[in-house]
Amino acid sequence: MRLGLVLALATAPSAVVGALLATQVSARVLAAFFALTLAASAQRMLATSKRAATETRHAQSDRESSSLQFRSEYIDQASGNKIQYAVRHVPVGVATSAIAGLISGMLGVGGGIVQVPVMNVVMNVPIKVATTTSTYVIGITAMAGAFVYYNHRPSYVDPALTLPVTIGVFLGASFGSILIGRIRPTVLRNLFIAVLMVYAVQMALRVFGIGGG
Amino acid sequence: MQGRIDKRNDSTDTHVGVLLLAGLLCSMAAMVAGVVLSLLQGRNLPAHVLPLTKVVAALTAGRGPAFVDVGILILFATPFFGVLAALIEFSRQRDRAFVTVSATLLVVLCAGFAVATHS
Repeated sequence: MRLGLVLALATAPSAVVGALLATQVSARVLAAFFALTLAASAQRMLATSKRAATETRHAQSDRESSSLQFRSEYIDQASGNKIQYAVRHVPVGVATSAIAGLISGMLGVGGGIVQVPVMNVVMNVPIKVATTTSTYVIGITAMAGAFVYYNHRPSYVDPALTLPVTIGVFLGASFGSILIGRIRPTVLRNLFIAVLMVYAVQMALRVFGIGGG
Repeated sequence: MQGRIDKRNDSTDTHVGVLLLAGLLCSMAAMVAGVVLSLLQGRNLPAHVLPLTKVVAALTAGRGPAFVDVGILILFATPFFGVLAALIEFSRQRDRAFVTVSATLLVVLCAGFAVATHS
């Protein structure tokens, strides 16, 4: 949670800026931006797959991480191993989180598509910790941008859609939180890359008017 | 690994997690109540939420859609209270660095809300 709070310091203000920009930019431009971001994230994760497969982590913090106590451990239920890690390159993570927040605010999606690869590849955070930390940050980031959409007149928030989406996300997230303990990190990482690619293609199709606005 | 691993993270995570879950459940309860009330009152849910300034009046008038709007607002506000709970936990632990981080984040969120309501 400590790491999440620090990253949220960057994502929250940029999400507000992103949400304000989104009301001025066309849906196709947003879709193109989203598609490129997803493709770049997937490419970066694929490029580092071999290293990450071993889930070997730097055991020592760098200077910034040491001062903020960014060292932790967890028991991986899937393998039974105790995974210890020390977060590194916090300034890079914070800077990238600002971009993630901007995307989140502009597109109404979680900035996890950017944050998870950065945390995992750059900041030395295990994939399971990266996904769960990202979930926490997304809540704060989404809240920062959501009020812009709520207050826009006419509002962009559709009450009839909100309840089924909330229930669906609640059930999915509850199931996911059970599943994440049992799934192997490499499987989770590959699944994440596949989801990034599917969404990248879907968004690219939207740029050309295929598959929705 | 150098240095110790701070076990205090666990209790903070648990408390904040419980609060976030409670906020989500309250939000869903308000939305479900709103949908049921709207059905009983023969009202369709509008395509847009009410402006913030009109929500309280609609709520006191017992209009179903207003309860849905309140549920949405609880959902939006829950992470704010999560950060507030973290601030309280870090204060108890006398963790100055993270008291500063969480307090700054609360200020940022309030500023964001102010910008959103005046944009």
